[in-house]
Amino acid sequence: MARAPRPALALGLLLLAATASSRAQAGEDDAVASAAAASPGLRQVMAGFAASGGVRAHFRETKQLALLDAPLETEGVVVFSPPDRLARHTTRPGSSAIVVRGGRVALHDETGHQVMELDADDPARHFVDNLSVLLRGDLEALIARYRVGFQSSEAGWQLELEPRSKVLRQLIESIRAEGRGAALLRMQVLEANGDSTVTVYSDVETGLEFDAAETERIFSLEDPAAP
Amino acid sequence: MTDDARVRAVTLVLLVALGLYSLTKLELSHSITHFLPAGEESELIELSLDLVDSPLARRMVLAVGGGPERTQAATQLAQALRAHPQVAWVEAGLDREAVASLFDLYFDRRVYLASASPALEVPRLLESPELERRAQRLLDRLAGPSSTLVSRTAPADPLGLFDGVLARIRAGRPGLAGADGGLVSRDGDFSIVLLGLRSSPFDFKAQSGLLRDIEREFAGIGGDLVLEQSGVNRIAVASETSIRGDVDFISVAALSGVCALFLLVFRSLPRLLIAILPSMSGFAAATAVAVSFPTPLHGITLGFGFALIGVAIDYPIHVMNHHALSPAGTRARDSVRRIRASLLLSGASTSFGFLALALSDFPGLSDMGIFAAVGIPVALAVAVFSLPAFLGPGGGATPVQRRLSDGFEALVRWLAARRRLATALPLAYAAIVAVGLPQLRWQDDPASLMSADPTLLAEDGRVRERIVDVDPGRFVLSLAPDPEGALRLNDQVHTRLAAAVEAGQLEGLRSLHSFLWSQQLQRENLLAFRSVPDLDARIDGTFAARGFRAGSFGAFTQAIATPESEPLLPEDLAGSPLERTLDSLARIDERWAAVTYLRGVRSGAGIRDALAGLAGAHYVDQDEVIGQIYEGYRRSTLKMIALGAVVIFLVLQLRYRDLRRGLLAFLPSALVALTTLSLFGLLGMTVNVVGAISLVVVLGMGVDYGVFSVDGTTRPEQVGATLSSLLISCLTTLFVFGTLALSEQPALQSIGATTASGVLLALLLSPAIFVLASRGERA
Repeated sequence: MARAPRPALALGLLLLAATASSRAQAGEDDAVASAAAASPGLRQVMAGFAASGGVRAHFRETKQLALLDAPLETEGVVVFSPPDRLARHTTRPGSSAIVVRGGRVALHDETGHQVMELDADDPARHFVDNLSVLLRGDLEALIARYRVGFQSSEAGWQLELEPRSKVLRQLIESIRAEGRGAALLRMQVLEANGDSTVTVYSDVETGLEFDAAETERIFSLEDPAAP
Repeated sequence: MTDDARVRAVTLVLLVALGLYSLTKLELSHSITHFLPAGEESELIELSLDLVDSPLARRMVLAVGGGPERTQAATQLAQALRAHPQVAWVEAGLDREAVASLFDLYFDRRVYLASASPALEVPRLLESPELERRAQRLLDRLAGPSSTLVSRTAPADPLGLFDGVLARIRAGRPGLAGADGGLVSRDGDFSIVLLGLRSSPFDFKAQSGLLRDIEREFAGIGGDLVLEQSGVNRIAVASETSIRGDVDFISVAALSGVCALFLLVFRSLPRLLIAILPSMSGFAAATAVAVSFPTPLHGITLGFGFALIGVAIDYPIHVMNHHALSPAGTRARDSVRRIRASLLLSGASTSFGFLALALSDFPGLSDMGIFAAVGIPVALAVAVFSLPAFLGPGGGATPVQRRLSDGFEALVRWLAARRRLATALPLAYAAIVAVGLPQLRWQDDPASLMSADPTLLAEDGRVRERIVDVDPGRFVLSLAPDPEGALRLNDQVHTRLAAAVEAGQLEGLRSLHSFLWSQQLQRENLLAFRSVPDLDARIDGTFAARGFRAGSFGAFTQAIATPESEPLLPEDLAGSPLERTLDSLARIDERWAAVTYLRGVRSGAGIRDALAGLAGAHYVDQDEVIGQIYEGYRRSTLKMIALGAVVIFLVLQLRYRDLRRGLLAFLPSALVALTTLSLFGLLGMTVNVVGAISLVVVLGMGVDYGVFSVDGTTRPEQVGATLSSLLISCLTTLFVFGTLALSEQPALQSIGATTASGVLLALLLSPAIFVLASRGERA
């Protein structure tokens, strides 16, 4: 029997798969090894991220898994508040959530609630770093973590990300993000075992500012089921 | 060489020889078992007290908070402390490799560890409704954020058995908010570092050095962060520091007081050295006898024995004061001869009184009695036979001695003219006893004997609360001849205690069961799965109905047919990130104990009921155990004091052959002891075991006051000398013992308050005793 992957690695991956959401902008074909070599189009996309502020979007996710006869669909809302707050709330079919805030991450699903330190877990920290990098528009850090491919056309742009980390590569083969203008429209994660997840974003709102009450409500690390 | 010089030389040589002999042979024991009651019931107490210095006690919790840099600071602190010679181990979280090794350790054994009640739960798990529920849960999880992991483990674990194992591990580890991350407090605001202590938490030198180094390391790392700590060693070091400070202060105060007293009264410090010679000789002789036995002498016996023999300081004071107040040129031996009968009676009755302690069921108390009963006669012999050789010719009393003597003569004359007043004094004591004794409250809680810094205790409590720590000193022992037997019993204990948690009798527990089950239980799980012939078809059918591809879960049924691993054994955990959990599986004497620590016990009786019928399973509350021991000691001490008082009374009756005089001589011991307790009752002060033992000192000293007061009536011309000797004795005792009342430590306070009150009450009674005993004596 093939040995299953380590849970810690999987944690990083699940965060990656769950939260790589945002928006981008246009550009042209490129295979980038350093920030200096990045095309103007890629730089423009990342600059767009950097200027976007808070983001909220509806998502619909379709998973093609070897275990299942038919694709599995989920829906929910993803919210980002720079520089380091991120929440993904699934509303259908079940209720689950991932909340990242100030170096800690809370995982909540039907099996329970867990809060952990990101620093204590390399893959998780890598993922959140990576995600923050993308949403902050930190091109240099993005390139340090991924081999980046970039394409653009009249219809929009495409970002191909291939993890540089061996650890992540055991689980994730590649991530493809597609968008138009300042909107991320679709993201596809190809896993090393052949499974894939396609997330389509809609109703994308950018430039949001969250007040203290909203921040507490959306990005709370507390167990929502706790009395 | 004169006779006196020979006596001096022989005395000093003997003292030195006894001292050297004792020092070379001295083997001190500190085993608590020596102070346990004799009998079978002591076995469990002994086992439980063995765990006072348990792995839980040999642990510190460091909590770093105050900012996001806490995680890095905690990691650095943990790294720095790993190399410390007093640190046995450090745990600050599970890194990637640690998590991976846990996965390797447990995933292949998920079937063995499926259910704590496999005969009942595994068939239920494999029935349609539960299989459908599990299939839906798997579907939900695949739809959720953890799908990448779940999709990889699901073919080999469609029922989510590994999730159950992880949940148990997570719940069983202190201060862990995430199974895959570092140790953090329950509220997430503090990073947690756990330290294992290499030395006993009560090893002052080792622990004070470690605590200093922790503070120093953190000062270099922490910046504006906050470090809070919890550990038995901190409380122990703080208490010992406080006691040492007290002892230093009290020693200086006592020595200064006694020196000042001897300078004031005798105008001579050498007299102080002479005065302590009999007590030192008695102590040296008793120690020499004790070390000649094959069993080691206990430190507490030595300490309290020394205090009891300290009673003998009265004898040289009487000799020296009487001699100084005798006519000029009186030979010291003549001065001694005049009070020899009183000295002998006093010493004999005190020795017999102490000897009564030897009848105690408690070996430690019995040893104290024998120790003191050996030392007192030796001290008396030195006072009677050797001391005169150290004194010059009589006379030469200092003005203070004369004034004291004259003052007491005047007081006695005044009191003799008011006999009703003299009669009223013992009656007043009796009235105090009648009113106060029923109000007396005994305190057997061990915590009442120690005083710890409340700030430190609050910090300790906060840190333990942050990691949802168990209650120190409350646990269940599962005892068996071998580790597998202990684990089997522990499995059953866990089931019972989990039910107690459900029933609200217990807030929680920390058990080895979270990490390790007996082989028997693990094999029962495997057999339970194997006993289902159509397992593969059941799972496939139910899961396919929920949309899973048929044949996806062959790896699971294959793992049941041919398991990837043998059951998990204790040795498998050795060297793993969960190695510390094996601290709960301890070898005690010839047996093995699995220890389950408890949190929030509502009632000890409830836990005992929950364990009813499990042979070898014992609930232990160490405070309760120690409280029972203290109570036993206290009761035994009081019984032996009563017996000693009877013996003293009989000795006095035998000597005086006169009920009234014997009774009067007896009053300053027995009545004063009772009055002391009654005063505490009236003042609302509680009395503990140390206070009870201190009453023995009161009894021993009180008899001196009675004997000298009554015997003094046979030589009324010396009443001033007799009563002033008693005053000097009283003041000496106040300086030596009474200053202990200044301590911040309740145990020392208790010794001081009891002894000081007792001798003061005895002194106050003495003139009245003299007056009352004078009736019918020659003028």
